[in-house]
Amino acid sequence: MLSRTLRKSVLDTKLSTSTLPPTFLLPFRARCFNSTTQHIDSPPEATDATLGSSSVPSVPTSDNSAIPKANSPPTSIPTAPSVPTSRPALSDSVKELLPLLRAQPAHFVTAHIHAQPYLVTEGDIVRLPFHMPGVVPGDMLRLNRATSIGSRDYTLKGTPYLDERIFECRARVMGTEAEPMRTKEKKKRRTRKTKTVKSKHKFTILRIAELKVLPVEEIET
Amino acid sequence: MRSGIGLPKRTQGVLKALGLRKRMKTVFYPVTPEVAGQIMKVKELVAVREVEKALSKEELKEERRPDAGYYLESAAPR
Amino acid sequence: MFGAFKPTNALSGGLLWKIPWRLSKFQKQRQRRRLRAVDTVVSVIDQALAKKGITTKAVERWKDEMPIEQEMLPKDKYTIFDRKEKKYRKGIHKLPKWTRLSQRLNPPGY
Repeated sequence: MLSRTLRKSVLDTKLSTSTLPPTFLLPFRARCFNSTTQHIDSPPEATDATLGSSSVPSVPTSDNSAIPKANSPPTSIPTAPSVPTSRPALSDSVKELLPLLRAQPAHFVTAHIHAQPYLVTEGDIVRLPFHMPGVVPGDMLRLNRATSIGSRDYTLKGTPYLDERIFECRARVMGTEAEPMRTKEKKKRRTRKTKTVKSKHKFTILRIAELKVLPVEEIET
Repeated sequence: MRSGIGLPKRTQGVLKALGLRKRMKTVFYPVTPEVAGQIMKVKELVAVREVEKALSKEELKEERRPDAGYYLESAAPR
Repeated sequence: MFGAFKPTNALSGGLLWKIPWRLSKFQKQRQRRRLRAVDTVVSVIDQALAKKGITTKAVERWKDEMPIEQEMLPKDKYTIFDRKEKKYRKGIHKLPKWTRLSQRLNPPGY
């Protein structure tokens, strides 16, 4: 019900201006969807008005970026990957639709850290479920593995990962957070001894400092 | 990849002869007709890949490790 | 006769397990994946042997006789011949150890 009214409102604005509506025109709830996992395809009439035919909002990238990464010892921080000489070109549909995705601000990204997905947008604070080794507060991390990036109407999905040239996502290390001390009693049957195990883990906190989609010209060069 | 439990003793014997004692175990063999025949006997239970040279245990583990997905761009003074 | 202890088939017969007569769509999908996994194993072996210029009887015979997953009829993928059934066909899941066996061919005409 909500989505239908939403869609209608989007449709009206789109048909009147035949361009993408600025986000401040949208109702408040519509902007809330940006931070949720809900996937909204753009209404087909709207895409017809803005694009031509055969334009699907979610276009998988054909270029699967398999970049040889310098293997570092597990305790240290991964270094920046060496830039491969021959990079696969973007497919035509991506080239066509990427400016539209870029024109619509407030992007979200599904960044993968150690193969775990985090659906984030700019300004989000992420508590990682582990203590990231080798980083101190103030460090800037570049997140370069993502399965999807999108805005309100457009989503670019990777196969399975996106080309890392398309977007820039940076995260600032805010610090660490500790959980309350947990104690667990380890008791074997028919034995008087009780062992108490204590555990208190630390978790790294990140803030997504920057998230932007790069223009096609910069990606090509 | 898959277990040979409950299968005929001959099939289990082939698995054992290939050195596949547990599920998900990886073994390396040269390409020979003998090995090909053995694999054909247990083709429903295994996955096969051709590699240049035998990988060590560490290399296999490194292959399974997922990508970190981040790198340090600018470090704070520490 | 009625009530909590009415004699059902499961109670009166002792052991009664109900097995559906056909595969579900998820079972069928997994069955197709398994068939394709076997196909890839055979093709990898075949390519590796072809690079060395060797031919093996087991591989050649499999390639001659057995259809690959895309060539198989749906009938052959999910059912097998059985002379005791009414239409001479039963679900492949009635075959013991059916997920780890290759059962692709059936008598012609059935």
